[in-house]
Amino acid sequence: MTSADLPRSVDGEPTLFPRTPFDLRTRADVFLDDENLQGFVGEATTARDVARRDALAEMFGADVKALRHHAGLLKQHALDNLDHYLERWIERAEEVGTRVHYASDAREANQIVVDIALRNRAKLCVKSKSMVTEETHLVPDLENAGVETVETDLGEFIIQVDGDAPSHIVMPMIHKDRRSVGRAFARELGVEYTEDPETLTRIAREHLRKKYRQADLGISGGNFLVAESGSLVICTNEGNGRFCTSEPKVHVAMVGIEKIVPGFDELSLLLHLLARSATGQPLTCYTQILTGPRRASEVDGPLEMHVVLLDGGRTRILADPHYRQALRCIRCGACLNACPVYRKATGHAYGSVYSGPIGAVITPLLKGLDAYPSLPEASSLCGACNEACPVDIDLPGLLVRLRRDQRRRRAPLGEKLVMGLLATAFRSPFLYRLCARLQRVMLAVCAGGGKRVRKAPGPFAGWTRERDLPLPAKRTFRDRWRSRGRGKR
Amino acid sequence: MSGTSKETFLARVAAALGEGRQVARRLPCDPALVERVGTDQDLLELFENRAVAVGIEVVRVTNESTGEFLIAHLQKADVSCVSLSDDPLLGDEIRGGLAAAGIEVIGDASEAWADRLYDEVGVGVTVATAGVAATGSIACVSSSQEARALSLVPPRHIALLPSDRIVADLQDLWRSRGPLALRPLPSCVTLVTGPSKTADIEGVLINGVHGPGVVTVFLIVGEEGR
Repeated sequence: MTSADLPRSVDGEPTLFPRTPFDLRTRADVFLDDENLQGFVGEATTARDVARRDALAEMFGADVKALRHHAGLLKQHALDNLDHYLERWIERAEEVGTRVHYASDAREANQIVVDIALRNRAKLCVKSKSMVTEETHLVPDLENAGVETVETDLGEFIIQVDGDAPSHIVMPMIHKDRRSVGRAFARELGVEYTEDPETLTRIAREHLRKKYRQADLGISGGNFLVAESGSLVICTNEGNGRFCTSEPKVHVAMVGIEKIVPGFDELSLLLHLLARSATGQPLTCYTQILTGPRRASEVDGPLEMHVVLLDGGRTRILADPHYRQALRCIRCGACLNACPVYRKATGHAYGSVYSGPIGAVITPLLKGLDAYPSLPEASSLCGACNEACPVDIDLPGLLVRLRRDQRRRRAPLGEKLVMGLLATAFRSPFLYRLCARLQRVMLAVCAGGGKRVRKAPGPFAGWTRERDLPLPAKRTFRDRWRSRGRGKR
Repeated sequence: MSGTSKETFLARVAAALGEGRQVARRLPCDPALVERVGTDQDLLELFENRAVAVGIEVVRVTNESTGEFLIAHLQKADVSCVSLSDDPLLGDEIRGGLAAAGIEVIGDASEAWADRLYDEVGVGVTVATAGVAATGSIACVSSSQEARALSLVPPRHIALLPSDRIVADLQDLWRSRGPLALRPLPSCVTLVTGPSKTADIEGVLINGVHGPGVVTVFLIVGEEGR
């Protein structure tokens, strides 16, 4: 695949790897007009959001908040001592025969996988769903090296067949309806057009079963690395992940370093939270704890197991004590489902592999705020994302911090001036009163005798482009407070 | 070799965390928050309820009646070809019973076996190493007796689970003397919590997308039903 073949979005740029600096508005404006898309994305995310609340409440009752906080502390502890736990994990993993590789960036990570494929003369690779391999954009590199690589998660398979890109961490094809699947299968797989989900699923099943048997390489991501045993944990629902890690003679997992947990106690708690937060299930259908390649005595399993540990900007996030907590993320997608902005703008608007609130935080952190300057604006700061987060990441706080960092670097002069004046006015009761008076007069003029300001003048026009500003009440709070003090209620 | 050296890589992580730190003591999980299964709860009943809730069928059998129930179950599902784990719980008596009932048992893990597992075997019968009451899960463990593929490739999966292997919750699996306390762990432990499913196409739930669409647990209880 060359860059010309990459899936493209409404702005003509590659969907997940656009030219930078990326401007959120150019895409979001188009998606915001697509009511059909918002309809099914809204429905799916709302359903998952409700399922999450129900599943957590059923098991943990009134303790959900305390539990999320506790899980956050456990994950934070692992990050605060990551060098220690990483070293332990490596030691244990190597003891059981896992080959561990170290990648500083995406290019290195992909090269390691390509080298393993070539050394094993792999022709066909089956791959299970993995966000980190989306992040490094692994599949085109494998294909360029002559290794046919097939996505086997149903959603990812459909996206690959249709030449599209995933738009949600957990539900990659949330932006597609059954008709687009039917058309893609008819066009690319040469089957008769159908839009029955059951039939479409059967078609994919039969197609992929042949691939599992022929494949000489299986690729997965990983949800957790357990330091105490050197295990890799993979949580899946369909079973394709089990095929990819069991049938081919070589299994390669690519995993970000932040996936480390100290031991099985922490793992147990996080497993209880992961599937409930993602889909409302108590656990995913399959939780695999993989500890090294097939033992000599075992009946089957891969002869080689490789784990590629990826930095890819993570140590930069780790080094900042404020942003470090963003690495707690267990990729459940709950913050996407809860986010009113994600529901309207939808995943591809974010121009990055990671969308929604967590994407708006980690994309600028991983790829640089200069490359994604507008992503931290993709939030109303309503706080729903934090309430949904099973590891209690302060997403709104981090978004505000990113906005501040961004403004410090390159705020327009006018904005700096206005903010500076505001800061001065807020510090002086006299100036504050004066400005409040002035503001009321000016707003009344802008409203032109109506009750709302429909079009603000000059640089403020942007604010009223998509909303009206109601006029403030006749009397200010200060006036009312004063008159109340005199005994007049 | 491509990539970064282990030393450089780990040094970068350590540098990001700051020099001269002491490793903090491991933060313990708060039992008040984590332990959700009361000591007075009936684990069998809880397991049964939770397993059924995630779509696993549970049949209570005794040691003596396992074979009989298995055959009846296979005949009802119209299955004529099965593959079994080499676990002693699936001994000669059961194998003989299956043969007598005209159900073919495919054994030995050869290349031909793998072909037939994909194309002919209707049910893979395994023996679970543990059950988890809180989640309704069973633990399938790779071993010299049981292939990973057995609980994965055929369209149906039946797992025998002796009732004394049920633990209260996930963390109890790994505790000392727990069913998965062994170190190093086998290469593959799979907690199965329901049939294979997907809801990728417009949220429509479909079972059996890649793995087995039907999972049945034969819960082996004593004569007094426990």
